[in-house]
Amino acid sequence: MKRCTHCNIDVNTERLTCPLCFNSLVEKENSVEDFKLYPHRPKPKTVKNLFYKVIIFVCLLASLVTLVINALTFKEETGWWCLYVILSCCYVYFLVRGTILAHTNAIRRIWRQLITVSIVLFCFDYLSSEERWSLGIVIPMVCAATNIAIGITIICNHKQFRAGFGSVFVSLIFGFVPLIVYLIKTDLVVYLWGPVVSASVSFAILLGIIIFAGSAVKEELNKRLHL
Amino acid sequence: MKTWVKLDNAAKIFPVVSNKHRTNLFSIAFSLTELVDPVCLQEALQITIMRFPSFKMRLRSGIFWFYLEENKQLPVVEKENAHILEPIDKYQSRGYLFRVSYFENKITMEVFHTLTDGYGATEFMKALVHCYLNLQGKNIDSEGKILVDDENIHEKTQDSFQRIYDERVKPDRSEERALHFKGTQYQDNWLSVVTGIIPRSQFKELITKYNCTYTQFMVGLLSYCANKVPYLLERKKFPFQVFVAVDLRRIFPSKSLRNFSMIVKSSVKLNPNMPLEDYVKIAKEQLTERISENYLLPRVIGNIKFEKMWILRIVPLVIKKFALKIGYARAASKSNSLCISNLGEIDLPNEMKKHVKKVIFSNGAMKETPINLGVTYYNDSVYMTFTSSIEERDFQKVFFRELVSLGLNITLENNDLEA
Repeated sequence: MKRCTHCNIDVNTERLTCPLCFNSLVEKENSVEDFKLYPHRPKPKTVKNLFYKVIIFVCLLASLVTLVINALTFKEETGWWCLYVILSCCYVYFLVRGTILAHTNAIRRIWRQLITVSIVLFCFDYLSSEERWSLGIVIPMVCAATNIAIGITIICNHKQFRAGFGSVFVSLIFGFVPLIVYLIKTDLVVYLWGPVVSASVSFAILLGIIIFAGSAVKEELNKRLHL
Repeated sequence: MKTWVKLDNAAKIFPVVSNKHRTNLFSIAFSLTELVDPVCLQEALQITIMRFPSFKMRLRSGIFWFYLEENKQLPVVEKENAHILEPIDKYQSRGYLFRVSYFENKITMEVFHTLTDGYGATEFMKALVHCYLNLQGKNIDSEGKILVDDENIHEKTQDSFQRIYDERVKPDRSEERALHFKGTQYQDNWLSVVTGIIPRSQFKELITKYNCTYTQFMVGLLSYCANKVPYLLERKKFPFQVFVAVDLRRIFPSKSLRNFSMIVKSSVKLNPNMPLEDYVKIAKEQLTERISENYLLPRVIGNIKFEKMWILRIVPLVIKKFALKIGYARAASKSNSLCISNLGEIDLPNEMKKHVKKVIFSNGAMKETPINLGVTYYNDSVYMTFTSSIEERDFQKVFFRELVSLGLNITLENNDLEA
């Protein structure tokens, strides 16, 4: 036990100075060693989340450099090629932030990847050609693969279904988007079989969930809708 | 008990406004007479959690509101972290909204305010430590002071706010901007803890002279001390407002272990010429008027009516979060200078008191209210714990020196060494 003669207070501490006035403490006579009160404070980290900050820095730098070079060397034939680099950097950022470093369940990470990849591919398609391969082939295949992955995850680990309930349904509904876009605006989707495959996979998985886990779906809906 | 429950009225705001700078956690620590055995503590926790179903929960987000769902995993104890009241990692805590940790002879429970308030957390800790000591072979009789049975589960898990709701009562809402402390924020979200231990008999003698309650005196003293550190406060002409956490169970009887508390405020314009007696008198008048059914019920009703508004109910949670954050910033954090939370007497069985040396309660601290005070009474001592997110200690220094000048003997403890 020590004493601060300035504050006139006894201080039970390992410190050499008073925690209030920061003057030197005086050891009290016949003081008995007691248990330590708190763990020692570690040194503050100089740079937190280094990996994430490096990724942001590299992506921003790459985007800026390509934008400047593209602007200075712009030609009609090549156009704004820097947009491909910028889009790729955006994808890398969302990959790191939303999937690798995210503190969330597996299904939500898969779903976030689905959305990010779909947007990036659509933008690439829109910039590159008039083939419209993204909504006709690639995005529906990615949707189908994602929903199959989600289905396998749920079968292997039932807890993931309840934990990622919202994400499961958003992802399955997203599987119908290419077909809906085809029905509304055919010139955006050239090939029909891709959207049909994607919608069929989503429908099959939805059907499976309702048949095999109907009561769980009802219970989860009650909770989420606060019924 | 249902496998899921809606959040009570007080709990709804915390998941929305919490972040790494405003964790909305508080902690209760029991210091024992012997070193803690972590294996035994783990076993005690697994037994105790089964008796408290309202704690065996995980937080989930729905489409319109957050809710609590039964957590099928068992909680684990951890070694105490030097950083107190750090955000609870839901994967590390297995989804639980509290953390039980140990260090030397101390068992600490840090709780997210969505789960419960000080009363509920105290009851849980008493049961946990009681179970731990019994597993250690101490054979302590509960004497009716520990919740050891699982009867009346429904009563303990009840949402008491809904129970007292009466739509005929008119709500009352009015908030005023308050003076805030300013200072150098600690790096790394560090919080400093300074606990003053005061003999209860001396403090009681002091209170008798001022003819007020413990809380009224402390609120008056806090305002008086704020006056003495003007350089730590904003240079604005707002009042100094102390938020006092009130356990509504004292006014509306309830045995619920979920949140059932409310904030009342004591507001005073700082005046360097006003003596301590006047500050205490103002605090006494205001708190006597405001800690009453007539004052509290319209305010509680107002909060519940806000929650029941149909337009708010149909708005998805994603959008609701923005509105709630703005409302919280205006109503709570901007109108609060400092928060005092007095848990009162920690009543333990006589046999158990021989094994428990201290009980300390720490409120959190954040940028808007960087200094807060938590108080408990245990055995013959009063424990006043300042939690601070700023490096400057002038306010705590003035506060404790003032108590010393009034004739009290104080022993100080704190959580950091020199750099």
